[in-house]
Amino acid sequence: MKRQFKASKREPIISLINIVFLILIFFMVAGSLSANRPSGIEFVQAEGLECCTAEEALDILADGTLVRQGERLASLEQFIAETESLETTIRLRPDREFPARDLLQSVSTLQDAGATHIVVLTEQAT
Amino acid sequence: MSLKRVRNRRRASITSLIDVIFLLLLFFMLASTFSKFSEIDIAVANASGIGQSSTDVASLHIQSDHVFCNETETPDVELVSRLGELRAAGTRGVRISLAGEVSTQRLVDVLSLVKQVPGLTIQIEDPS
Repeated sequence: MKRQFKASKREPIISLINIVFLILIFFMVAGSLSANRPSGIEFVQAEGLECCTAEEALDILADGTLVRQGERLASLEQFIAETESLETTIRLRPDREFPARDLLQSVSTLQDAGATHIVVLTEQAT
Repeated sequence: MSLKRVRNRRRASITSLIDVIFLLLLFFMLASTFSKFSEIDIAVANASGIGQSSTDVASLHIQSDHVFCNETETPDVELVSRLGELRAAGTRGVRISLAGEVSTQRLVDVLSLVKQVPGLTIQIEDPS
């Protein structure tokens, strides 16, 4: 009598652990830890581009604020001054509502400063 | 007596195990993201590099809801087939200019459409 009572009490806990373990493994495998992203940025959505690339980039918020690795930059000139080599790929991640004209002006400024390869990061649309 | 003790120990360890697993679960649920990023090349051509009236370069003027392809209004859905025809007729590149109110999202949308046509070089005009 005693045994049966105990057994029936313990079983749902073990199945609970199983399910929680499953969810845990799902999040560990399917998700990736995100780097520090500025709040309020909505990334450009795109389909059919080659997946996937690293997340590191210079974020440009909708109002033109520049953020690199969670740190706010005063101007594009500061970014150029702090970047060791402009010969490597410059990665920009603008907000989707950022005016394209301003983006092209930033790209133009970077090119004038010597940047040769500039890419825009887009979020994979689901 | 000894049997009972062993049982008590087991039960305690399961509870703390659950605690730790729940903690890990919570951490991964809050810290992980599922978004993946792609990249698209962008380069601005300076004014001197653009031939004004070259016949093998098509012009694209992007507006917020449609595109002017060689001065002809073209809906987005027809843009790829239109550029495909131009490519077959000998066009080698496209020169892209922007209306003032166009957002980055719109620019990337059109750029990814143009990229679907193989063999076209893309030049983007300096807006200033």
